[in-house]
Amino acid sequence: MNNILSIKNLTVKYEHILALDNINLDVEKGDFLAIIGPNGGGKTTFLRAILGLLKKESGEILIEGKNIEKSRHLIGYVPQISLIDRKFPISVLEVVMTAILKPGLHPFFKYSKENKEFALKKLDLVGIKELANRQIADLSGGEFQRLLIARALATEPKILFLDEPTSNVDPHSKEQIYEVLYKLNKEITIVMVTHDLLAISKNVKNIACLNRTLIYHGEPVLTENVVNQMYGCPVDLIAHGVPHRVLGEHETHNHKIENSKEKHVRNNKANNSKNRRTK
Amino acid sequence: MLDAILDYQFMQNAIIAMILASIVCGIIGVIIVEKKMVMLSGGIAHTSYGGVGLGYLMGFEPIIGAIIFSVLSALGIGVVNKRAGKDSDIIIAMFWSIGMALGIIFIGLMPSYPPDMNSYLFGNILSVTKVDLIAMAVMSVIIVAVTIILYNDWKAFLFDPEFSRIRGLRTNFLEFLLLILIALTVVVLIRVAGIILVIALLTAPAAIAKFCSNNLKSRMIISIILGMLICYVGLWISYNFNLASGATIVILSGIAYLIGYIISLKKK
Repeated sequence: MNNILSIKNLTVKYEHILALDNINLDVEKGDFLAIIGPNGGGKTTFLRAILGLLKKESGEILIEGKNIEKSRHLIGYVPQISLIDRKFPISVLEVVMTAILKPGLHPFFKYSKENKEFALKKLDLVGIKELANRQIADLSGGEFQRLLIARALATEPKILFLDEPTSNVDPHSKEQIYEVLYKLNKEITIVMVTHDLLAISKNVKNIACLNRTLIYHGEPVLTENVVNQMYGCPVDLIAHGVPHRVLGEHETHNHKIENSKEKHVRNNKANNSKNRRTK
Repeated sequence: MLDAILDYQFMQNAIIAMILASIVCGIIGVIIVEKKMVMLSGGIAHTSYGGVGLGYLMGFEPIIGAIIFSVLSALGIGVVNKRAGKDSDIIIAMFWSIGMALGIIFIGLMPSYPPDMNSYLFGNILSVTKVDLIAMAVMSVIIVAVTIILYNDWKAFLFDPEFSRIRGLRTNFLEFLLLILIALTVVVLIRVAGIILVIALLTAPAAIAKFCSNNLKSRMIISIILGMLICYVGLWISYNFNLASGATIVILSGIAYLIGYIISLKKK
C-alpha cells in the first residue's frame, strides 16, 4: 500500500451544521498536496478532524493504515500562527523542545544536551538557528512560522500538515518557507491548507478543493473553471496579485473570454482602489 | 515592627503566612495572568465562602471547608466549561454568587450568635491561627512541588495546549490539575487578603513581572519577590497606622501595578 493517508466517507458536523460532507481522499507517500478553498469552507476543520481534535459524525481516517491514536508519532502539525499566543514567555529553543516530549506525563524531566542539539538542528533546517535563544515575542511573523515548522519537524513526522503557513507572512519569508517545504518534501509527505494560489503553481504536486465537499484535481493546473467553482468568482485570484500565471489555457468559448476579461478589468480596478485604501 | 515580630506569636504567624502566600501567588499568579484565568480565580475564591460558612455551621475548621468548596468549584467549572465551551463566564458567575449565597445561608442557620466573617471576606493576616498556618503550608508545598516536578509539561501545555494534545501529552489531566492548584492558591491567599480582595494580590505581582521579563521562570521568581515586598510593606503600614491589613496590602498591590505600568510605558 502506497497511501500514507486514507480518508473514507468523512462527515463532520458542528452542532447541526454540516461542516464536511462525505469526504474521500487518498494521499500517496511523497505527495505535496495543497487543499484550497474559500474561508469557512472547512479547511481548518478538515485538518482538525484528521488530527483527532474533533468528533467526526462518520467515516474513517487512517494514517499508514492505523487510526490517529496509534499513528500520533507519524504526524507533524503546523497550526495557523493566529491561533497561538505569540507573547507567551518562552524561548525559540524551548518551543522546539516541547515537541520532544513523548506521550504521557514527564515528572522530573529535564531536557538533555542531546535534546538541545537535536532541536538546534531542526532550527537550522528552517534557517533560524541563530534565533534559538530569543524569546518568541521578538520574532517576526515569518520567523515564527518557520519556528512552528521546526517544532513540527522535531516530532520526526512522516506526514506534515500545515494550516495556512503563509498567511501573515511577508513575501520574502513566504519564498523561504516554500523553499524549506520543497526541501522537506523529498523525505516527508506534505498536506497543506492554503488560499495562497501563487504558491500552488510552483511548489505543489497535487491540489484538491474543499468547500464542504472535497474535489480532487490532481496536478496543479488551475483552470478558471476550478477556481470559479471554489470561489464563485475570480476575485480572489486577482486579490493575490496573480491573475493569469496560475491559470491554464482558457478552454471556454470566445465570448466568455471577453466576458472574463471585462471582469478582470473591473476587479483590478476594485483591487487597486482597495490597495490605495490600505496604504 | 521587628520587635513585635520577635515578641508576638501572631506576628510570626503573619510573617510566615505572608511568605507562603507570596510564593504560591507568584507561581500560580503568573499562569493565571498569562492564560487569562483571572475571573475564573475570582469565581473559585467567592465560592469558597460557602465552605467557610459550612465549617462554622458544622463545627469544623472553616479553612478546611474553604478548601473543599474551592476545589469542587474549580472542578465543576472545569467540567461544565468543557461541555459548554464559550459560556464559561456565565458558569463562573453562577458559581461565584451561589457560593457566596450558600455561605450566608449556612451562617444564618447557626443557632448561636454568628461569628465575625470579616477576616474571611477581607483578610486579616494578624489573625492567622496555627491550624490555618499548617493548612497553608501543606497546600503551598503541594503547589510548589507539582509545579516544579511537572515543569516541562506545564510549559508545553500552557504554550500550546492543542499541539500538546496532538502529541499525546496528558492535557486533560494537566487542565484539571491546574484548576485544583488555582483553588488551593486561592485558599492560601484568603487569610491574607480575603475572599473579596484576593484577586488583586493574585494578579498584581504577576502582572508587574510581565513588564520585567519574558522568561517564565524568572517571571515567577520576580513575582514571588514582589509579592513578599508588597505584603511586608502592607503589614508594616497596617501595624503602625492600625489599618485593615488585607485592604492595605491590596491597595499597595494596585499602586505597585500602576507604578510598574507607568515605568513600562516610559521604556517604550
